[in-house]
Parts: sequence; C-alpha cells; structure tokens
Amino acid sequence: MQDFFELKNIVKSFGENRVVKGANFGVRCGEVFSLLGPSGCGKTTILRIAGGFEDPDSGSVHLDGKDITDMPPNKRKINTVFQNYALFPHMTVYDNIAFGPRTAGMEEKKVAEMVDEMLKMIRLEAHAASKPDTISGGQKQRVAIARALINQPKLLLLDEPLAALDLKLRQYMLLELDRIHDEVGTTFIYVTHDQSEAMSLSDRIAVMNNGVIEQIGTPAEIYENPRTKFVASFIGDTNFFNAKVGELLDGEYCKVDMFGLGEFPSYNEHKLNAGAKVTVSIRPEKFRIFDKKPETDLNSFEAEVIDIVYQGAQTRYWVKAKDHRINIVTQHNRCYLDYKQPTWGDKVWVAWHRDDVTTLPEESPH
Amino acid sequence: MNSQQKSEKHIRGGSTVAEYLLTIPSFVWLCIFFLVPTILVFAIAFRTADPFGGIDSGWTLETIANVLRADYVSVFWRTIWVSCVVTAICLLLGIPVGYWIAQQNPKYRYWYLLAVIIPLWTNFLIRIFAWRVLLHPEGFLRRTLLWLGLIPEDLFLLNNMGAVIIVTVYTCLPFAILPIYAAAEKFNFSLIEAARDLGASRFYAFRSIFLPGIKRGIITAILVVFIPAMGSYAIPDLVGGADGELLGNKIAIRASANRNLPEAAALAALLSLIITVPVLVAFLKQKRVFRIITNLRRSAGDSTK
Amino acid sequence: MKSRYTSLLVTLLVLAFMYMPIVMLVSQSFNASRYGGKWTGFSLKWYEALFNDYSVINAATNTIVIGLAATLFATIIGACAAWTLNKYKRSKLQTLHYGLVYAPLVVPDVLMGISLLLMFVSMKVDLGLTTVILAHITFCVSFVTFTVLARLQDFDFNLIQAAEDLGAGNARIFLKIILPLLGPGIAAGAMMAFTLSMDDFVVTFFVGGPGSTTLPVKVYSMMKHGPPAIINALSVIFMALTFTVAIAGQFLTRKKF
Repeated sequence: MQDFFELKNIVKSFGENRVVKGANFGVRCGEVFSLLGPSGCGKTTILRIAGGFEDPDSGSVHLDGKDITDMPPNKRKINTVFQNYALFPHMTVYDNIAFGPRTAGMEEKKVAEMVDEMLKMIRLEAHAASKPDTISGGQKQRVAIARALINQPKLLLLDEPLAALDLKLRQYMLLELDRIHDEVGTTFIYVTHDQSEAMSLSDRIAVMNNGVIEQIGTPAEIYENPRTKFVASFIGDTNFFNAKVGELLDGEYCKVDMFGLGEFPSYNEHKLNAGAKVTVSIRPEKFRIFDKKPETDLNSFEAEVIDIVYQGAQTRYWVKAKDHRINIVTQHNRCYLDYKQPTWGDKVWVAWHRDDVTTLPEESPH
Repeated sequence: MNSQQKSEKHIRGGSTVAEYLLTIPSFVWLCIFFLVPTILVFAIAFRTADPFGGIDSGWTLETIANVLRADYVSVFWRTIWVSCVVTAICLLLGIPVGYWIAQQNPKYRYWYLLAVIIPLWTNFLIRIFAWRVLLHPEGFLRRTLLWLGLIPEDLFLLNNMGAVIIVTVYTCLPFAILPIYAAAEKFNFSLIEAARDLGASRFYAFRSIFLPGIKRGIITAILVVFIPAMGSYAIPDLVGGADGELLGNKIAIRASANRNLPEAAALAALLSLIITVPVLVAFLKQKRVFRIITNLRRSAGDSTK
Repeated sequence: MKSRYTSLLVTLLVLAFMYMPIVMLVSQSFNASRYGGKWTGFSLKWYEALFNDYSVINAATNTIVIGLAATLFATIIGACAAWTLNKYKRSKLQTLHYGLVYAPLVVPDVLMGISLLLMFVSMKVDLGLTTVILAHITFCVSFVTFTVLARLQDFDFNLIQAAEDLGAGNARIFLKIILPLLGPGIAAGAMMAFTLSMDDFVVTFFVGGPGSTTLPVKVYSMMKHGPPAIINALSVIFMALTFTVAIAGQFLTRKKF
C-alpha cells in the first residue's frame, strides 16, 4: 500500500540534546498508527514535527505526496488533539468545536450544521452550552477530538489523549476512539507510553527508545517477534537469558547454550552463526510447569518454586534454577482442575516450545 | 534548509526579533528611569553643592566624609535599630495570623485575608493621619488609657520613637502577613500531627516543624518589612517629632528645605548599601534567585570564551 | 488546643489594631468639634468646607490625571514585559530583564524619589506634572508586570498552538484567545497601577513641583499646617475613592475566565 504520510530522516535537537535521531516511517491511509515509548523517547517531538509546531533540524515531512516540511501548522490539513485537551476555557463546548470552521470564514448556518453533526458523533448534544471546566475529563477529551475532526483533516494527531483519565474511563474512551475512527475513517497517529492502549487501538505500532525507532509492526508482530531487547522488555513481561549459539540445526533452528541450564534447540530468527553471543527472551506465559520431566520434544529444565502470586485470572510463579530467577504465568483453566498446583519449595520441571523463543543478537540491528 | 527563517517561528532558548521588540519598552524605560538614576546617586555622592541648590562640577570625597559625622552616624544606627524592632514585631504578630488563617476552611480563608488587606486600601498618608488623631494628647486612646489608669499623666503617645514604631508596624504588617500566609497555606499540617504523634508538644511542633516549613515566607516577610522601614520618611516626619528622625528624613530635608543634593545623594547611597545586605543574603538563600545569578555568571563566562 | 487559641487571640488583636484608626477617623469626620476628641454632635460642615476649597479640587484633578496617564503607559509597558518574561524564560536577555523589573520592588520609595530628583535636576528638567507622571510610570511598571505575569503563569500556551492548529492566524489568535483570557489579568494590573499612583506620596513629594500637587501631597501639607477636621473629611472621601478602585480590582483578579 502507498504510504500516505511519511517522515524521512527526521533529526531534531534541543541544544545539546538530540531527541530524535533519524526517524523514518510511513503511515497508510486510514490506519491507526501508534508511536509507543517511554517518556522522553522523542515520540511527542515527532508528533509536534508532524503537526508543524516544531521544525526538524533535517529531514522532511510528506503528506499525500507533497512535501509539507515548511508549511506552518495552520496551513496543514493535519489537526492535533493535545495532551491536556487545550480547550479554550472562555468558550462553550459549541464555540470550541466551531472555532475551526469560523476561522475558515464559513457562514454561521453551515457552521451550526457541522457542529451539530460533531456533537452527535461525540454524544454531547446536551452539553453544547457548557464551559469546558464544567464537564468531565472524558467529555473534554471528546470535545477536543470533535474540535479537531470538524476541519476534516487528512491526518489526526493524538498526543497521549487518555493520559489524564483514570483506568475505567481510559478503557471506555479507547472503545469510543475506536468507534470514532471507524465512523470518520481519518488516519490517526497516536502517541502513548501505555502499551495496552497502543496494542488495543493500533493497526501498526512504532516502538521508540532514546530518539530511535526500534521496530515498526502490527501489535502481534511486535509482541511475538521483538527485534531488540528494548522492545521485548517494554512490551509485556519477559525473561532474559544470556546465551551463546551452539550447533546449527537443519531448518531455521539452532542449539542455544543457556549458561548453566543446558543446551536447547531454539528458533534462529536472525540467522546467527555458531558462537554468537545472544540474549534469549522467553515470555512468562510461554512456560509450562510439570511435576516431572515431560516426555515430549519440549525444552525443559529443573527448578524450585520460590514464590507464588495468585492474581485471579492467572497465577504468577517465581522459580529458581541455578542463578536464574524465572517468571512464569499460568492461566487458570478448568481443564487442569485435577492438576496439582505446585507450592512453595516444590521441585518442578519448567518447559517451553522451541518456537516460543526469541534470540536477540547482543548488538542491536541498529 | 532555510533554518534561520524557520527558527523565527518557534523559539527555544535563543533570542528573536519579536522578543527584542517586546522587551525594549520596559527594558529601556527602566534603564533610563531606574538604573541610570541609581548610578547617578552614587556618582553625585562624590560632588559638592553649588550655592544655588544645584550640583557643582569637580569630584571630591568631602561629601562622603561629611555624612560620616557623628550626628549622622547616630541616625544610621537609630534607623537600623527601629527597622529591626519593627521587623521583629511584624513577624511576632504575622506568623500567628498566617498560621491561623491557613488552618481555616478554604472557603473562608480568602475573606479573612481580605479583612487583613482592606486597611491597606486606605491612603498611606491618611493611615498616618488616623494614627495622629488616635495618639493625639486629647485623642481617644490616651484619654481611655488615662481613665483606665494604665499610663501616667505625663506620658505622651505622639511625637516619639514609640509612635514611629507603632505606625510603621501598622503600615507594614499586612505585607508581612501575606507571604507568611502564602507559605503556610502550602504547608502540610499533617506534619504537625505527625510530630505530635511522635511526642512533640504543640509549641515544640510549631517551632521545629512549622517555622522551618514556612522559611521562605518568613524571609520574604523580613524583606518586605525591613526594606521599607529602612527607607521610611513620612511616618517619622509626621508622628516622630524631633527625636524620631530617621535616615529618610535626613535625605528629604537635604533634598528640599535645607537643600544640599550631593549630601542627600551620599546619604541615599549609604542607605542603598545597607539595604543591599539583607537583599543579597535572601537572594543567596533562595534557589530560584540563585539560579538567576548563576545564569548571569555563566553568560558572562560564555562571552569571554 | 492551647496554641490554636493563642493564634486566634493574636489574629483578633491584629484585626482590632488594623481597624481602630480607620473607624476612629470616619467617626471623627462627622464630629462637629474642631479638634476631635470630644463628640459635640453630628455635622457635615467639614465636608462642606472641603468642597469649597479650590486647591483640594485641583489636587484631586491632578491625582486622577497623573493616575490615568501612569496607568495607561505602565500597563502597556508592563504587559509587554510580562509576556516576554513568561514566553522567553530561558533566554539570557530575560534573566537580565527579570532582574531589572524586580529591582524597583525592593527599593524604598525614598531612594527612588531622590534618584529621580537627582536625574531631573542634572538634566535641568523643570519639576511638575510631567516629571511626576514619568516617576509614577516607573514604579508602576514592575507591579503591573508581576500582576500580569502571575496570570500568565496559569495561561496554557497549548491554547495558542491549538488555535494555530485549527487554522487561526496571529490576529485571530490575539483577538479570540489571548485578549479574552489575559484581559482580566491586564485590567487587574491597571487597577493596581492606578491604586499605587493614587496612593503615592513620597516619590511625588521628591519629583513634584508647582502645579503637580496631588491629594496625598495636599493631605501632607494640610497635616503640617491646616485644620485637622477638614482632613478627616478629605480622608473619608479619599478612602471611598480608593475602595472603589480596589474592590473593582479584587473582582477582576478573583474572576475566573
């Protein structure tokens, strides 16, 4: 698919501090594209460059095939939903939403039509005459979205739009955002530090760290096949093991020597050669716990249960094997009712499948 | 890239044309009408007066030597002494008031505070005049005190140092209460409960937890009371009598009735130097201001490189 | 509980101390007796005498003219200063600028008066209305700046970007966003300037000349020479005037957007 919005080789520094170190990505028409990363990773700066509020030191911004790098924010067909909403406090909800069309010099009758339509979409018809400080956080958020969308932008930028809301409201607003996106079909770029927001809303995610985009992919790709240690640890939980590639097996597998635990066949995604130092990442839910060595082709080693945390839908175990503390999550499943739950101090066998391993080369691909 | 033209649009750190244009009015105005006159005071202190009340040409140390005479020095000490007493009284009264208001229901705090501020809305001179009426030998206060037998027949309330101190406290007190209240309002009163819980007496908790907690407010209060008190002129002039003269009166007399402008300048220069001491101490104590000073030093260092 | 009673007691004493002279003054202004003290009956004769005194009317006019002129200029200059101080916080120029605006606040009136007098004398400028207005603008600028600056610190600069994002140009942003939101702050600064100008005696005393007598200066000379009872009446009228301005200022600062 043709990229609809593109950033090419964007570099940006504030003083000595280089916050964006050569960002490249393309966003497809109609998708929700998330920039995900810890605070200070440069994601907001990229968003501000896209919106025209910040100028890149070098690189270019393209929308619909046109270079818009030098275009001021009020000329771009891009609108922004600001982090703390930035609703005009002295105007009503109606006037806030009407600001864009009125600025464009549209006649009041047309403006009223458009605003009414927006109010209907965000289900706030009853609050048209309210001032922003009299409505709730979630309502403010919806007004901010309507105010941006009424200009029919080609691209909507959302800067941590749910950060100020509490958990329940955040989950509700995620559904609302999804519904609004389906309704208008505008392309969204969504900045967040919350992986669950990004996972549930996005078509694709760009994971950023330290001014660099570490990986771009669908939520499943990023979770199942992280390309760097950072991505593996930032998205979800994982266990890391220092290891060395041993004998190459046929197909796409190799033996990996996980120091002290033994040699295990693993999927060799990066086609590493024998002797390469690697970090092995295995997610907690990929492990299974057995009371004796499983007689299958699963990899396994012996360990001792040192801690158990019951979490309702699942149980989290901490087991110790040699110098490693390993984090394991098991879902509670009725099929296993007769299965004896391990308890503190039990000797158990920890097993996993060779395909559920991510081997990451020591040097990141960058 | 047209990066120079672009940096005009959004500014981070560097100065731009828009910044200069908007800074010029206040900057230039205060340079001409504040900075230059202040420097002039120090310069004219090294001149002598001409017979017509103007300023003679030529430089001299004579004027400075003149204002270091014994009778001036005693006025200096008296001014400092009175200002210290006034500051102490204002703190003594201001801290309990700030403490009390800060503990009230937030809904009513504003009104209590307003009650303290309202007397400030009366003209400065009229407040002094009101005290003259009140302290007058035939006035309400003295007659009441006499009737109650609290003061001897020969005690007069007006035209002495006591009157100067009372009226100066009266005009300065709201300015002491405001910063103390502002600090006390932000103070976390559960800290006092914590101290009480750990065995501290009420007074000990107040002294060892509350007072250090509102330190910044107290420093500001000291500044806003001590400095105007040092420069006080109208109050000693109107309620002080012959014994109540302070430095401000000497400056005013030298500037008007008994005109000798260089001598007035020399006195003013000394007064500014005295005031600089507490201001500098407070500046160094407060981080925010300290940062400004370090910034200045850094920019000075940059330009020499 | 003891300490709380102590602070309550001190607060009550302080309030009594603050209001005693004012209550005294207002009641005396309606006292028929010439020298105050003994109450000899309700009278408005001192108010009558006041309104027949041409020089008092003249001083009142001067006060208002000086106040308005100083307010106008100080507000414009101070509002610009506050804007730059807030917007360009990080620049070195503003660090200097901040110091320059801050300094007049910690200088006693006597020093400001004498230094301006010395400058006007050195430049051989005739003292009068103009010099008083110039001096008043100078001390008002700092107060206006800090009043507006306090409001600006609550101002969300994202609003400007939001307006820009929605297509507004500079003029529209200024008229629709900045002015309505900062208007009350600037008005409060202006009220502050007018109140300060009206209240000032010391600086006016130093830099004033023939024809620039303001109400405070008039009160001063009456206190030195005139009959006290008229001053009572003048004080009460003056107080009413200041209260009006101050209350208006309070409403503007209290009002939320």
